Amino acid sequence: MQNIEKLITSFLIISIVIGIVAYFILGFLFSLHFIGVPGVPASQEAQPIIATGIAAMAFTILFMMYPVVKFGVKNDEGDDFR
Amino acid sequence: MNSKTRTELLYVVVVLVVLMAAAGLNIVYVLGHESNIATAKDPSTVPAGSTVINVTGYQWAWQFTYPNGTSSTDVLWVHVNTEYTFQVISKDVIHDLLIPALGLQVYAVPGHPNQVSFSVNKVGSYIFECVEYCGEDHYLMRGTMEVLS
Repeated sequence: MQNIEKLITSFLIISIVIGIVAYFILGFLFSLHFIGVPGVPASQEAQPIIATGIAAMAFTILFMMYPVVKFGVKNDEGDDFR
Repeated sequence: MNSKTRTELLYVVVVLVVLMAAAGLNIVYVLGHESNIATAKDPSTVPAGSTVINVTGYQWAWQFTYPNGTSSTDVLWVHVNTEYTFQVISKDVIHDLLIPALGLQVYAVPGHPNQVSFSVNKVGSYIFECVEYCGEDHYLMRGTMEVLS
């Protein structure tokens, strides 16, 4: 695997880990908030969907921001597209 | 295939996999989901053993009438681990009863009773409020749900 492929794979793995962590954090927060039916079952159904959304968000941010952080022009001379 | 094309292809495939996984999860959720949301009042669909509470929204309070004929205003008394069914109506304009801790929301519409079932599994005091702007004292349409053991 080339470096760029390893990089994207690592983005994917990082975002999946973030999604799994988000799943458990959401479960804990929902259990604090909801106290009965229909709140508890509805939140349990929503939990993996929201966690997937958070994982997709993490992947998108990593994917879009990496080239900017890595290769972006860092001087303060205004727009420079050279 | 040079490395640039391969990288571009990898980008496309990874994005497609993530998007299709998200879409797949959504489809599974939508198709397999039994919703417990408010519907039009229908006594035949009240779950067996469920206690019916008539709820009337009016400018600007909520009135709860229990099966024994008693009623309370802006305070809802319920017992833990007991199933209840709200039958909700409005006397004047459209109101919307929200109990955030239950994830329960039901519209109070004049001439169109709605119905929703719920149960509570934790003793305590929880807020409810009207979340449909219904006039100048809309903010007064709030109270507490007292859950007894």
